[in-house]
Amino acid sequence: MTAPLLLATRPLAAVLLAAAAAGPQAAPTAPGAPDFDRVVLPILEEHCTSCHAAADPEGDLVMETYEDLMRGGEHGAALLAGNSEKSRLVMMVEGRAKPKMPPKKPLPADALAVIRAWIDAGARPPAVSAAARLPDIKPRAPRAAPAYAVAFAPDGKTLAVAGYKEVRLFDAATGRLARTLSGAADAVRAVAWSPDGKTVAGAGGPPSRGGEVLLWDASTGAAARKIEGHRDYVYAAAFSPNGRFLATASYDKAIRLWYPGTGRERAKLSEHLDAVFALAFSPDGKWLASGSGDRTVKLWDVAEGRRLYTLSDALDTVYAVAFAPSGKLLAAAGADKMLRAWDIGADGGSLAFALSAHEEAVVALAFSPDGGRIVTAGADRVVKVWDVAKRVEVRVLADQPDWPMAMAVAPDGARVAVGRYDGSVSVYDLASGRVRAELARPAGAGGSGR
Amino acid sequence: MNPAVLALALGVAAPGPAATPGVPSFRNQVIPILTKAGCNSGACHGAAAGKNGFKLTLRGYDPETDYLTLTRQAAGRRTNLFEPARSLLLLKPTRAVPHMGGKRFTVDSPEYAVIASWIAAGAPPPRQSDPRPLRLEVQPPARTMGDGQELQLAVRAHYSDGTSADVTRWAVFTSGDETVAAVEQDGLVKAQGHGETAINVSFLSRVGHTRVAIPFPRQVDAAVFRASPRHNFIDDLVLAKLQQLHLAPSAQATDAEFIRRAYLDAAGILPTVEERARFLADAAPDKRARLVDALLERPEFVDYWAYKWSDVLLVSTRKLNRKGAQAFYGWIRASVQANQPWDAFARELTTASGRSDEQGAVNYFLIHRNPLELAENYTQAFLGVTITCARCHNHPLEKWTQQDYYGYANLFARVTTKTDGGAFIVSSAAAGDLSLGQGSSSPRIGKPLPPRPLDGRPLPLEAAMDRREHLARWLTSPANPLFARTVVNRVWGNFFGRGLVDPVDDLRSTNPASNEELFAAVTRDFVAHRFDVKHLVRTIMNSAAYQRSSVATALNVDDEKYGSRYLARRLPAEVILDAFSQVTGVPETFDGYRPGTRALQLADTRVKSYFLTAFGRPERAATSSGERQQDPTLTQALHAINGDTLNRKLMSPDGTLARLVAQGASDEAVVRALYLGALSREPNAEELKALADAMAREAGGPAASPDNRRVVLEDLAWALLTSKEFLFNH
Repeated sequence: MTAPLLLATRPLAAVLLAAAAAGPQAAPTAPGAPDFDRVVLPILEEHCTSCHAAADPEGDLVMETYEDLMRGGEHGAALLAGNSEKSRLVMMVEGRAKPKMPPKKPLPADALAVIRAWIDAGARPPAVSAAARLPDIKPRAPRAAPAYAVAFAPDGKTLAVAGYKEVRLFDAATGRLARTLSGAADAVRAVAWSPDGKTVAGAGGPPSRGGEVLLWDASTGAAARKIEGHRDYVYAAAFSPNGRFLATASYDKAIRLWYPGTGRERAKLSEHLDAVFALAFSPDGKWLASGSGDRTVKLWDVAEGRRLYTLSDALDTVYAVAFAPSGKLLAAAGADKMLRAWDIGADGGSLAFALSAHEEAVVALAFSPDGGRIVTAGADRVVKVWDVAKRVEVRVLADQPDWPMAMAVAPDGARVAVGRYDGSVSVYDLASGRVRAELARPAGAGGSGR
Repeated sequence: MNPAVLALALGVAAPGPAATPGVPSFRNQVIPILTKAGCNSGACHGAAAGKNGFKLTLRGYDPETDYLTLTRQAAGRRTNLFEPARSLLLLKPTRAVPHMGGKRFTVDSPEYAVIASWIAAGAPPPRQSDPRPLRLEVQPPARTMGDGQELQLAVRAHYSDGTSADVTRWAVFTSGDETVAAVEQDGLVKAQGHGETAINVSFLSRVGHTRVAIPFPRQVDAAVFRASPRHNFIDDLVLAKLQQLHLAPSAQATDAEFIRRAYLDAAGILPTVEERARFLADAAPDKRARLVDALLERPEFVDYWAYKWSDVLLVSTRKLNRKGAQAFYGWIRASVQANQPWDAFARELTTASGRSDEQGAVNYFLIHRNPLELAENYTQAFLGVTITCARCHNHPLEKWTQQDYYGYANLFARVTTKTDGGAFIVSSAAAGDLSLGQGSSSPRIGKPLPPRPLDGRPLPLEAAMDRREHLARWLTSPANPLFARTVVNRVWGNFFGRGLVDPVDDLRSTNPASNEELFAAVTRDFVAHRFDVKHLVRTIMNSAAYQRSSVATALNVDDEKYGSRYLARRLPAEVILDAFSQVTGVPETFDGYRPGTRALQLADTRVKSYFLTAFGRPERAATSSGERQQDPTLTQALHAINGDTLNRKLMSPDGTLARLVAQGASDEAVVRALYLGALSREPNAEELKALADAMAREAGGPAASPDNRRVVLEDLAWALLTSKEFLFNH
């Protein structure tokens, strides 16, 4: 490195280190016990994580972090705190449980001794959690959270707008902020109303660490339940039409079906080969459609929790899926800029049409309640209304000030809400394309990311 | 942290100018960090399929796309504008969360600070108005180093807005030859061996290099270089390089060595015993130059070079019918015969129209059934550049983008063929275009781009002229440096066994010449002599450098590329086979060719010949110097020992051996004739004694039976013709 560069670097490093040191500290470890992050994790990274990574874990056991390891795998707990002799991990390494691990290169004796010492000392979490080590960096200027998702309440009067760590409920007619639902860990990427209008589900999660779904009581704003289980952000959430199930889809490639009343998992559907971005229940609730980064749309039987078939026409990531109200037509769109629809049945689907829809990726898609229209939103900053029967574009809501990343058609079929990356939300008249309401932006344009 | 403090620090540490003071530029500062950390490399997120759902453009060639991927795609999961430290873009590379790619930088690094500051500023997008790096300044530009020494490079990027910045930390370094000098990613060069190499530096889309010479560890008296002969400008430049690297030139080759070498290199034949004797007897001081002049007028010279250009232009019945291949070959041969200037040759080929059995050159367009393949082979042939990568993606270190590629290939889009009896008619249609992405693996097809030679002027899409005329004008313009350099390098490689750039058809800017001053001078001379290939051949062959002995001395044994001696090398397959025929006096026969046709006269590399295939004859499927195999293989050894190619010739009742025996030649006379014919030298006393011993042992001495004697002579001839001395030019 050259001398001037070094001089420039040092004060900067000092600033950052000072920031890190000022962060919150986790509980101290027992003196003398090996620290997980400093001593144990490097051993696991050298010998274990090439197979036990979150991307595709062997035995469903991830060993990349303390939390992962403690979560265990398909055989249950990986270790018994305070008792290395009876810990499954140690037994497998020593060949007392099958299969012996690691399968090829045995773990060196000194490394095993370290792991045993750590377990026997109570398998304590790392002294300083990863989050605590993060420097505290503030945005230079406050800004509004993107409107990640929008959803009309079943009565059409309230619009839920997902933002950073919160969901806001607006009066869709006046644009007035009615309530803020807070408590989410990170950006809320998906929002859904229960069919009875009593519950709002907001889904997201801390990045690459786990997904979460929060259920709020829409009338009080109280958080009723938190559902965890996904290994990464949740990108889609949908209630079944009868309200019995909540389906979620995640960057971890899995779809999960939950009982929203208890938070218990009913099924895990894990056949997608890449992140799952979109979900839709058929109007009769029997089927679930999913769209994924693996360029496919899959149809699932909800009752049996199994895949019916795969539609492989898309050429790139599928970001949005929607059933027509008739339940006989399924539309999907995504990064290949096309809008496709299939005539579907229990045994398979046949492509009904494929339209070149946008100049850039299509990021959102919805049917009108009468099934006559499809609305698409594109990364080209254009929202388009399509005549389903004639398969032509009938209206363009151009001049979107930023990415229209969220879009929903109201239950009355007269309005469409568009939420954008810059945080703005507009409600348009679907027939005329005129703006009916601009929803209030959060005060100070700061979202609640403050 | 106080953002003001962060910004202040960044103002100094960040790579390149910022659009807003204190706010790092995505294009000029964030992208180089991702490149240097390897995030967007071909093995990681720069792979065509990305990694773990996250795909960046290869080495950051498309900042606009990367920007959207990082800030918007997957609902903006990778950047957190509210709590920047919680951005995946920072959590992953610092390994705060699991990352298959491991830890790429630390929280207290300048890399972290730049990205964090960019996100904290709201992750502003790349702008059209962003300054662009125009060039890299690498200091020092050249350096001679001692054994084991180290050298710290400094890299400065100069931007379009007139600013410049030290980007050493963010530049990527690669050594052209690790055995000479290695370089670490902080720009520290370490001498490893001896010789000269380029240390290539890349930053954003710009490349630069520095040249590092590590002289061989010995002193060579300056008088050695003063005394070494100089025949023309080539010698001044070769000797200057040798002196710099402490390499002493070998002595000049003897006349006997020279005549064999010159015949083989220029015409692919051996001198006859008579030709050799006449040359050795000639006492005139200019006899080598006259020998070269005479060689250049021989029909075998035409055969040899027509064959070479047929390799480059893929003449073969792989795709052509027999008549077409013959016509194409005939056109090339006629051009060599007439010593048509290289630019005129290329122009005629580029714009060829007409019937495939009459206008031989049009067959070039019949070999390629789509404009992409055509554009790729054509560029490799005439410009020594591989553009294939750009078919599917941009490569920041190669000059050509996918847009350039498709605009270029569109120059060929209107070439059309129709059948007419057994022939084809090639012409330029009035319409037809190639769309961006058509024929690539990319699912995204764009609009046709105006046809444009790689760095030339575009034609309007609707222009009515034959687009190939436009292409030919650009290709052969003296202002197009690669055109002349490519053919010069091919010809140089033919005579020196190695191109000034190696491989001979890899003229990428990141693959510098072993002696750039020399390369430039030879190219200038070639262009000044109006692309006269014979002039080029003559200039090279008349240089003292070409005429040096192949015997290494203690003072140059480690030189493989600077011209201190002639590099011995195995003869091409066709030359070996023809030499077998010449020495044994038994011609080869090829299916479909009149008897007596030599291998170097074949119009087609698909003519059946086990020998030629085993010895590495090229397939002529795609233009590439790598097609011809010159390395020895087990198959070759086995075929030489057991195969019938050579044995049949040796046993022939009509060959040279049979004739000599029939004439009653003595053992010694036969051996002398074989040595002179095959090796262009007399057998020495030791060899003659070994022969006499063998005769006595195996055949019963001078009183041997004629059959036994013949077998021993055949064995001897076999040993000679499979010896390294025979199979190599030296």
